[in-house]
Amino acid sequence: MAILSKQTAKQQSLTLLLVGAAVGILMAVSGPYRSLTQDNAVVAWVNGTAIEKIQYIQALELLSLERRSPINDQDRRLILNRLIEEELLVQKAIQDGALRNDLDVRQRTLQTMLDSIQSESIARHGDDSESSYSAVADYVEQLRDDAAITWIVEPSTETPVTKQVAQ
Amino acid sequence: MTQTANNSKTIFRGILAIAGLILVLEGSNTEIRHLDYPLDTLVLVNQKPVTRPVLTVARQRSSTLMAGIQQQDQEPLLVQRLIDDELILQRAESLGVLEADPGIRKLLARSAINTINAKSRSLPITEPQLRDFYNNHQAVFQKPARFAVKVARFLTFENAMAARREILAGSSLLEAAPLADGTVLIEIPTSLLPAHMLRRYLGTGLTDVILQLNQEQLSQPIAQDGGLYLLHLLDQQTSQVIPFQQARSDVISEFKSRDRQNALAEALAEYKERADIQFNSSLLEQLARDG
Repeated sequence: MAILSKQTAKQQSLTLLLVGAAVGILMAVSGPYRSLTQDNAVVAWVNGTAIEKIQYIQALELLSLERRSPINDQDRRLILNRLIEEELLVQKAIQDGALRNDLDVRQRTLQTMLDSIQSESIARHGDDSESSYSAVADYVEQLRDDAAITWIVEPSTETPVTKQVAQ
Repeated sequence: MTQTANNSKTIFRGILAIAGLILVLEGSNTEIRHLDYPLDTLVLVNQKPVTRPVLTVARQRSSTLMAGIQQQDQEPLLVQRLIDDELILQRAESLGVLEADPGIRKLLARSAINTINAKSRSLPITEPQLRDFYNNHQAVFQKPARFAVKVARFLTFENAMAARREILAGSSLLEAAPLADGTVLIEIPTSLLPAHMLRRYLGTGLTDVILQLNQEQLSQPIAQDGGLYLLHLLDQQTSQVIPFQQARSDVISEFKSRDRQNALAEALAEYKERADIQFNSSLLEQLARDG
């Protein structure tokens, strides 16, 4: 009798463990738990991307400057809708590969990154063009070291290759 | 009983193994290699292709910079530059720069709109479509009505009525309005003006009264903003529909413009339908209450 109840207890604990593990995996896969009603910095989420309260308020303020009249509920809905639409367009462009296909987006992104590296260098070493240049060079060198670069065609010869340059 | 325990152990181990594999795959930076890169790929940078068309564009754009370099040395330099660019772009992606930088966000939104517009632009427009559009939007393709007016502002009803009587007896508004006692002639161009221009000078209320007047008609004194206004419609030109052939280029451009707007609205409706959008209602309500 005692052995039977011990085995039942074992099975129950195993079942509990399995249920616990399944719930844990589900929670891990579904991403961090968030409570919208408790987040006071976000007015909406669009496919998991936050539309921040500050963006919403700034947009409302801009509209009220243009209107020269108090903002009403319809204006608020319009602004929130515009922010959601902008986010959807941004997500669509990223999904369609605009970063690489659209020259303006590509150039602007590269410039933003280079400016940020140079600004950091200036903050550390002062406004010295040589150290700014070497900061960019070091940064790129580090990216190259961590990258997997596989040649498909040798550019000068047009010969297909399978050489692995860096991994 | 032992058999059941053994089976449970095996199942448990299997689940643990699968969970472990999932966690390893989720946590690692490894990208599974596919051989589905474009045929014109020169090099793969972290599995992202750098293609020959990209090299061609880069060559065209840097022709001035590359002027002093031998032809055979140009290509390796350009490809290396494209690899470095690709690495920086990937870094920008991983840092979330695209989503965070307002300037890049604007360009991305514009890029998405351009793609939608390009699809609508590629559709041919037929002559019957243009005719239908012209017939259904006559108000767009007409010269608007225009009005020439004189307006004076009086401080008292008596002054306004006195001036009105003089004008009706044949004087002009300028002669009839005694300037000494606070009467003001509102400065408006004497030429014929469309309604939207009148609204700019006089506001909506007075313009709406003008639109109801007949040619050379003088209004009753109208109380507004602490004064009394007399409006004299000196001349008017009614709106005229422009014939289709004359308006053809405008019809095409308006048709395309509306087509773009519709395409964008449809695309946005589709994206919204597919998207997971959640609102923080309590915060939105609180912000509305706070004004």
